[in-house]
Order: sequence, then structure tokens, then C-alpha cells
Amino acid sequence: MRFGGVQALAGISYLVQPGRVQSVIGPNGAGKTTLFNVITGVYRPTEGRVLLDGDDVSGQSPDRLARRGVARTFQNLQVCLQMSALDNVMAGAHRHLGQGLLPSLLHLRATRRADAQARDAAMEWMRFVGVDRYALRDADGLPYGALKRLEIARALASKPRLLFLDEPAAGLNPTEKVAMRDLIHAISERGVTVVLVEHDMKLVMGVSERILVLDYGRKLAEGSADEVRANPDVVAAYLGHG
Amino acid sequence: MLSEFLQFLFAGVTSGSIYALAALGFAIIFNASGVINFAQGEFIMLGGMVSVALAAAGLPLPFAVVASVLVSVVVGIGVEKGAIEPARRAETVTLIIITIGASILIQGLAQVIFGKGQHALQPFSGDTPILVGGASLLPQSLWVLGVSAIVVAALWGFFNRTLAGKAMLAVSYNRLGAQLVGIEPRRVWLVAFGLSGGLGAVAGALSAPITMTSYDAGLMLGLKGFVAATLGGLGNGLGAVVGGLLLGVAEAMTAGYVSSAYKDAVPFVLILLVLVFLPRGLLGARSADRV
Amino acid sequence: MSARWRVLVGFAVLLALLPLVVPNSFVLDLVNRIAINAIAVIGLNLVMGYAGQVSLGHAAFFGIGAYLSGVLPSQYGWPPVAALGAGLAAAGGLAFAVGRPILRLKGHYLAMATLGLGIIGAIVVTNESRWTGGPDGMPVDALTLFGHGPGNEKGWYAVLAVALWLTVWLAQNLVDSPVGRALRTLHGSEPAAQSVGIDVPKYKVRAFVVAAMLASFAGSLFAHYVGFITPQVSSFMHSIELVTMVVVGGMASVWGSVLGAALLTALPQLLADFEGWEMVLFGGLLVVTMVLLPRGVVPTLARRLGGRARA
Repeated sequence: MRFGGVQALAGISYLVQPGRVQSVIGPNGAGKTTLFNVITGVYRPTEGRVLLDGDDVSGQSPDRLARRGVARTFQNLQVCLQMSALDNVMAGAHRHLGQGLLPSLLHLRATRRADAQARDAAMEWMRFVGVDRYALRDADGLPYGALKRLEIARALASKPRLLFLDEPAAGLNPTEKVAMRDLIHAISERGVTVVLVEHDMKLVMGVSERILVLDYGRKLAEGSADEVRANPDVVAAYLGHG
Repeated sequence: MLSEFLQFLFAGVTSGSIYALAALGFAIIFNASGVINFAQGEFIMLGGMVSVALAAAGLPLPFAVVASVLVSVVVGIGVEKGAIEPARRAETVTLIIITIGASILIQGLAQVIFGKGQHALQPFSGDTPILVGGASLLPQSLWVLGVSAIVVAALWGFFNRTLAGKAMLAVSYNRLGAQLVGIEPRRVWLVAFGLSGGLGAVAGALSAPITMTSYDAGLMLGLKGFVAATLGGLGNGLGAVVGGLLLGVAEAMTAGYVSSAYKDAVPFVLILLVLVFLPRGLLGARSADRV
Repeated sequence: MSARWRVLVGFAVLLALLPLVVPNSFVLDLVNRIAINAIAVIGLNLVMGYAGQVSLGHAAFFGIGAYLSGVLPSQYGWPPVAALGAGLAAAGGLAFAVGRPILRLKGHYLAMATLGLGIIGAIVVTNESRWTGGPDGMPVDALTLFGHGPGNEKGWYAVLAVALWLTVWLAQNLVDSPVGRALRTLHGSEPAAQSVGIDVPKYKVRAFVVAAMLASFAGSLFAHYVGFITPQVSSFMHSIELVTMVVVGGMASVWGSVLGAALLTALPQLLADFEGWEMVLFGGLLVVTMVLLPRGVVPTLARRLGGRARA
């Protein structure tokens, strides 16, 4: 992947392993978020391919990938602040709702019923991530930690198979970080494959079954937490001065 | 054949210069504040109407023109102080409505003061056409071209050579950074509106002998200035000048060779086509959204 | 009965009782014009307030409805209702065709493109005088269905009140539906909308098409009601009037649109007494209102009253 003359990612082969929690780490500018953006369709790769279930999905728009069960959160929050917290989460269920224009305009019974179910499910997800008490408040004005969880609830409401979390712990206090670790475990237990980009080593080492280390857009190492920790290249490039 | 072409070209470059000045007014305000000022056309109207009124009252023409520029500068500053600054934090659409409100207000005042009639300003130096390659060129066109070129050069010097100009550019690149080094954005906005007001009035006074002017003449000129500014890429000074000239020539050629009835549609067809293929104008920056 | 339906029934009762308190046909005429504008403004608010896309050329769609209702019955013998339907189809079709390339644009570039579209529309109706009568305008046949028409202001009021109520109902349905939620989501954040599977361009176009059809509907009603149309109906200033009604009433508020239409339709009538100063006062009031109430009247009031009622 290049931007103009900048090679942002090169020669990375990365296999997401189903059913596991895995992390992508690396110093700032290593290409972690770029890798996410390529995989989730925000950027079209200049070379290379993205495969999903063996299908080439390189350069497919994010919404098409989302409809195939790929969900994500964002490094800089993308919550709709003018909507209620509940509406934000219900938006997550979009791909499971009737999307016809006429049924929506006429409020047909089937549309209303599906929407009511989506509302219940959304409440359920908000309880699951722990923000249900904010359900009817405008997202504008919610505490930062709640907004991060709200984004996760929205992603979960789309019932993804694959969930990408871009720095879920950034900006959280130590207590919230511990809670985030538990939440990631709980999500994984529900059978969702989780990939996270994260700077907080304690969290990464605590939740990840596999870790990919990037440096200057290249793959430096890949393996279990212990393997990565023991890798001298990683220590030199990252942990040494991280 | 050639003489006909030249004739259209002269007409196009003349009106194109006016559009370029209008577009620069948009660009300066947009750069400084991120606002699209729909009252820009009214500055042009004021340049023409105030000059006409003062000249009719017996003031010598050069003084009348200078006075009209000063009036327009004051009105520009007034718009910023009275309408834009109090609503700084409002949404884009709200700001658009506010500048449109200011535009209607200025138009209304012009109607009350100057009446509804159409007026022509006397040409700056006679109306004996000069023959060039079989085409006739009005002396006023030379005034338009010459003064526009001087104004553009002066603006270039201001933004690239003076501290005040560089400070204004700094605000457009990074408001917070500029504030940190002691540049007061509010003063920059004020200067931008004053400058655009003056710029508009110059364009209005220059073109009034050719096109006639009236209290409602600003609307279409302002819109075409907006088209020219967008055509080149919003906020890009060079783009505004290129866009303005391009627009003027395209309009004149259409009027000459195709249909004069649809002349006014040319800028808008052109801008739609450009935006469909280049969503940020001809010289606009390409950028990807960061998520 | 849900809160939403209580309000809708209340609105129906209000509309039914209104003629009883309207003193004369002059005021009733004003009310009728308000209803027509409100239909177009509610549609525009779906695009601007809910989907967050600026449109400065909406009068073009109003003009399509008005002129097809003017031209087709009088010059081609179409029944007025068929002409109205043709207007809906033409406006919706045009919005669908230009929607994708135009709605890709952001911010001021979108404003420019929609503005351009509107002005081209106005220039076309001004120039094609064979059909439209050019700048002088053209008379429009009366609205009839099987030989019956609304007749006087009272009859028209009945037609327009029903049309307005239906528009409010449809708009509220849409807002409170998966499609409406998708629109609000893409307004809040396009990356977020895409991340949950919302096809952003498709939904923007949908809002644009619905808004265009409502504007055309209002345009057809206007043409028949007034009985005479000029290029003013599709002019830039008319587009601006519609946008102003949206913003003054309140973005993303269906009731705000009704109020905005009422305020800005009535205001020029009230200002007519200040001969010569109408524009000054109108412009001044517009600036002051937007500076003091940048979110528009209804959302600001809703916030002040502490209510979280979502209109």
C-alpha cells in the first residue's frame, strides 16, 4: 500500500485466525491502522489482495464488507453525536433490517416489528458492553469511555464474524482498561473473531492469542505473546524504547 | 473569422477579469474563515452603484470610484462584525443563510437609497473603440484588464511578501498554530472581509460602464464569482484567477458561436461537469479522509 | 396510542379546526400557501437536516412540478392529475440520475453543484418560451379530477390540509425507520455508516429523490392553486427561500419545517406595509434570527424547555 510516494505497507502476509483474539502492534507510523483500513475496505490496496473466505475482496467498499460480517471501531471515534446512544447502536443492526424505501415511508407492520426487535437487541448489546444506562441520552456529552464502548456495541449489533478494534484502550484510565480487557474476552467467547490494534502492551499481552508486529510498514514478527516478547528484533525495534 | 474570434475573446477576457476579482473575494474570505460569503456580489454592486450615485452628484469620477471602494470596505467589515463574528460557531448552512441575509439587507438598502433603475457609469477614458486585428476593443476593457492585473499582482505581493499577508495565510493553514504564534484570527477575518469588500467594489466600478448596474446586479455576478472560485479549487488564489478567466471566455464563446440565450447557463454547466470529474475543482488539493 | 400518533391526531384536529378561526379568505390564502411551501420544505429537510447534505437548487424540482402541471394540461390536453404524476416521475428521475455524481461532493462543493443545477433549471424555463411563456410566465388550468375541482380557497384548504398531513405522516415514518436512521447515521459519520453496512451514496440519493418528488408535488399544487406561474418558481431566490425555511424552522425537525414555512411565508405579507423597506427588514430579521437561534426555532425551543422531544 502506498500513498503518493510513501510506501505505507510492504510485503505483509497476514492470516486472521478464526475464533481467536489477535493483535497488531508496532511503533507509531508502523502501518497498523493502514493495515486495518486496507482490510476493511477504506483504502484500496495498490498491490496485493485481501481474501475473505477465499474470495478476493480487495478494494471492496467498507459497506459491502460490513454486509459480509466485517465490523470495526475507529481510532478517532466515529459516533453520531446528534443521535441518541440507542439509535447509534440500532444503526449497527442496519444490515439485518428491512431496507426498502416504501416500507420505511409507510411504516409497514413488518418494518415496525423488525425495528422493535432491533431495539431490544440493541438494548441487549448496550447492557453487554455496559452503557445501557445512557441509552436514551444524546451521544453528544457522554463520557469518553462510554463512547468507546458504544462504538463496540454498534459493531456488535451488526452481528459480525470478524471485529476489528482500532485502539480500544486509548484514552481510558487503568480501571477502564481492565474492564476493556474483560469485554474483549467476553466478545471472543461469543464466537466473534477479534483483531485489535493497540499500544497498551499490558492489554495486548493479556488478551491476544497471536500478535503481529509491524515496523515501518513491514512485518517484524508474528506469534504468541511469549514468542513476540522473546524476539530480539521486536525488543530492539519496539519494546526496547517503548 | 479571426476578427470575430478576437471580438469574443476580448469580451470574454474582460468579463473573465471581473469574475476573477469576484472569485478572489470568495477565496480570501474562505481561506481566512471557512465561510462562503454569498454577499460578495453585493460588494460588486456597491462598487458600481455608489460610483454612479457620487458621480451623478458631481464628484469627479476618480474620487467617486475610490469612495465606492471605501464604502464597500466598510460594508465588508460591517458584515463580518455584525453577522459573521457573532455566529462563528454555527454550522456551514447557517452561515450560508446569514451571508444571504446580509446580501438581501444590502440589496434592500441599495434599493431604498438608489432606487430600482438601471444605471451606467461613464467610461473612464472615453468610448472610442480601438481596432485590433479587425476586432474593436473598448478603452474600458483595457481599464478592466489593467487594473485587474495590478490588483492580482498586489494581492500576490501582499500574501507572499508582507507579514500581514503571511499571517492571513497561516490562519488558513492552521488556525490553532497561528494563534499560538500570536496571530489573532478575528483580526484576520476582519481584514479578509474588508479586503474582499474593496476587491468587489473595484470590480463593480470597473465593469459598471460596460454592463450597466442596478441594485440587484450583484446576485448573478456573485454566483459566477463563486463558480469561478470553485472551478479553480476553493481557497486557491491562482485557481480563482484561472477559473474567472476561463469562465468569461467560455461564456463569451458560447454567446458568440452557440446561443446567447444560454450564455448565463455556461458557468453552471461547466462547474457541474468539472465537479463530477474533479470533486475539488481544477487546482484543488486531493486528500483522503482520515479515519 | 403512541406519542407520535397522539401528535399526528392533534395536528389533524388543528388542521380541521383552523378554518373556523381564520377570519377571511385573505388569511386563508396565506395558510394555503404556507401548506404548499411546508410540503416542499419537509422534503428538503430530509436531505439537509437528516442526511446532512446541502441543496441550494431545490426550486428546480419545484419548478419541474409547476411547469409540467402548467404545460401538459393546457398544451397537450393531459388530465391535471396525470401531469402531476409526470412531475413526480420527472423530478424523481432527475434527482436519481444526478444524485450519485453530485452527492459525492462535500460541503461547499455540493452547495455549488446543487446551486448550479437549480440555476440551469431556471434558465431553461426562462428561455423555452414556446412552452413556458418565458419570463412573462404562463396561465395554468384548474386542478380537476373527473370534472371536480377544489374551487375556492376553502376547497383548496381541504385539499392542501390533507396533502400536508400526509406529507408530515410520511416524513415522520421515514425519520423513525431504518432508512431514516441510516440517513442520520451517514450525516453523523460516513465512515461509521459504511462500517455498519450502509451504502452511503444509495441512501443520500434516496433522500434526494424523496425530497425532489415532494418539491415537485408542492410545485404542481402551487401552479394549480395560483393559476399562473413565472420562472420565479424555479429561481435561485426561491431555492434560498426554501433553504431558509428549513434552517429557520430547524434542521432535522419535521415540525420545524412546518413552522419555518409558516414564518417565512407570512413574514413578507407582514412586511408589505413597510413599503420599500421589505428587503431591508427581511434580510435584517434573517441575520438576527440565525445569529440568535443558529439551530433554528423548534430545536432551540425544545432544548430551552428541557424537553427531549424529537420532532
